[in-house]
Amino acid sequence: MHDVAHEVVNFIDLNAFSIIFLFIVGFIGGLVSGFIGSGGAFVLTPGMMSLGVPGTVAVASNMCHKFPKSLVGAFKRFKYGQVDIKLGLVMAASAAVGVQIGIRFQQYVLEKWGQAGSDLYVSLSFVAVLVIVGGYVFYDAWKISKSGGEEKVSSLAKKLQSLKIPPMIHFKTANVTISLWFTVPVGLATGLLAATIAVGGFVGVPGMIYLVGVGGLIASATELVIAFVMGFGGSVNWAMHGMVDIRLVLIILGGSLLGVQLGAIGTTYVKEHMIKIVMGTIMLIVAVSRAMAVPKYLNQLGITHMDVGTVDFLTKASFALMCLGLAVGATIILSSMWKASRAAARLQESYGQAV
Amino acid sequence: MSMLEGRAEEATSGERRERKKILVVGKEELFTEEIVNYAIHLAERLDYDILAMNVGTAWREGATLTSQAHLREAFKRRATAVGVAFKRKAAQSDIHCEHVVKFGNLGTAVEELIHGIKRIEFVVTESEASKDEVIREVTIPVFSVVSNSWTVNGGKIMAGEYGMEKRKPVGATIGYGVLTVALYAAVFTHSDTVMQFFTKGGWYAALPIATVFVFSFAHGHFSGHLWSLLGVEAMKRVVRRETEQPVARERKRVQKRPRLSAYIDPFHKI
Repeated sequence: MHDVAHEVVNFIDLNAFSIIFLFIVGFIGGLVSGFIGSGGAFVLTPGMMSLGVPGTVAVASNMCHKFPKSLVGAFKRFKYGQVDIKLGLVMAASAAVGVQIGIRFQQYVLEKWGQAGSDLYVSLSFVAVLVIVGGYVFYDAWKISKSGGEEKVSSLAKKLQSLKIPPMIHFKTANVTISLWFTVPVGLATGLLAATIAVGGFVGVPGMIYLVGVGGLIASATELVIAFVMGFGGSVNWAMHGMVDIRLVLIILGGSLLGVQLGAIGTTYVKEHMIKIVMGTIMLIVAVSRAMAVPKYLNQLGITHMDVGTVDFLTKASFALMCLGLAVGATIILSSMWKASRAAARLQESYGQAV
Repeated sequence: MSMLEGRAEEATSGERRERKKILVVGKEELFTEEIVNYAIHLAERLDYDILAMNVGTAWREGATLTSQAHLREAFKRRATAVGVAFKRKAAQSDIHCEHVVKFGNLGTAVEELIHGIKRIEFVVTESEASKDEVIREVTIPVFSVVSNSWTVNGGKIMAGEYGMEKRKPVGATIGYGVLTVALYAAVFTHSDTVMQFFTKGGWYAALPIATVFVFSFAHGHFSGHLWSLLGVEAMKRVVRRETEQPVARERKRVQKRPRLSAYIDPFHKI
């Protein structure tokens, strides 16, 4: 792969538009991932590709920006006492194994059905996972906000915690004691999904919340540790093949480090279930977006024979919808932060008047 | 007055809603006149109740149990008398006031009270020192009445709310900002050379990895300081509550242990 890479890869020339585009997407992606633990990658990778960046370079550069961003976000949220490092490391270790399994499976699919088949598989699993998990997260968030904003540990997580199968493991910050046998599969699934659809957090965070029984705040903060470990390993691998375009990485990082800190600060302004609302909303929008990309692959495989114009339109609409998903998430975060800070300012004012 | 009407309404409604309270912490068994006036004035304006507390903290290590109990009794008597005076004064302004006496650590006493009694909105202490002691334990705002600091209007100057005393990091923001700009300039003015070496693969992989670490250090610090310079800072309240719960629970467990072993040991000798 090493030699091939050098012949094939063309690094793009940067212009003002691409710089501004990457900076802004970096910022919004950072904001969302600082808040919910992951996100941004699903827009950045296709976004870079639409600027003419080769697929592998886009994936490599995205990953190389992800791990320092997660590091900064995790550090910030660690200071707020939201990160369970032990849980993060256990999850990351099992996710690393999951990634390897995912890559093997992906290669198998690629050999058997070719590129279009592989793309179809990725899109379909994307849609299936996002609709089921995202739908549940959204439903749960809606239920919590209706009942006054109190989060409860899911009954499934309680049941799993009560099964004392050794080795039991205690996570101090998350305040959870659970068998390793239930923690590892969540990590494996995160890695598997990360290898398949590049956004492991979409299953990792809900997994930690609903299966392990961790609160939304700590789960999303801990996801940043997982993203750092996984992103670091992946980036070293890609960099050894010379695939990282450091210019793209630094431009995105310019925006995303600003965003990730704002997102991390945002978690201290809002009620815990806001994380679920943002996450569920983004997941559902992205699911629709990926579903719109499916006809293209079906056409390529010769299963359907749709009009080229329609397919082209759907592909573009799919990308636009993905951007919209990210923008909606960012808007919810910023507006709820704004509301919370206004409420705090009013409280301060009433103290001020009293003096 | 509307306040009186409000009270009447509350009393008649079946489910009495808990009223908001100011917790006033005295100096040992006393309340200075300043803090009493200040608290009543504040409660009147905000339409809050007052909860006054005296905490007996200065107990000698060597004192015997009986003499300690004696001292406590005396402290309680004196404090109650002061509390009655406080209540009477508050009643003159039509403010409901409760009084409690506790012993031990000041911070722990306040924390216990906040957990036990609903809707304590903030704490007012006599001195900066006791304010600091309380701040360590609780998540709600704590103010102190700084003595002998009259404003032009004749009011008291109050110490700032917890968390607001931090100075804006202007110097640090500029410093890290300059560093970040310099780093970006260095990479982008030599982008051809940089790209040539950074994409060689193999051991050259260390170059992009090290670069992003350096950038995330400089730019990460810059952006962090920038947000606090712009006034966007974490609200400590929410977060502390999340994290301090398990710690508080653990402390209780530790206290119980020695008692258990004290019962078991003699039994084994028999």
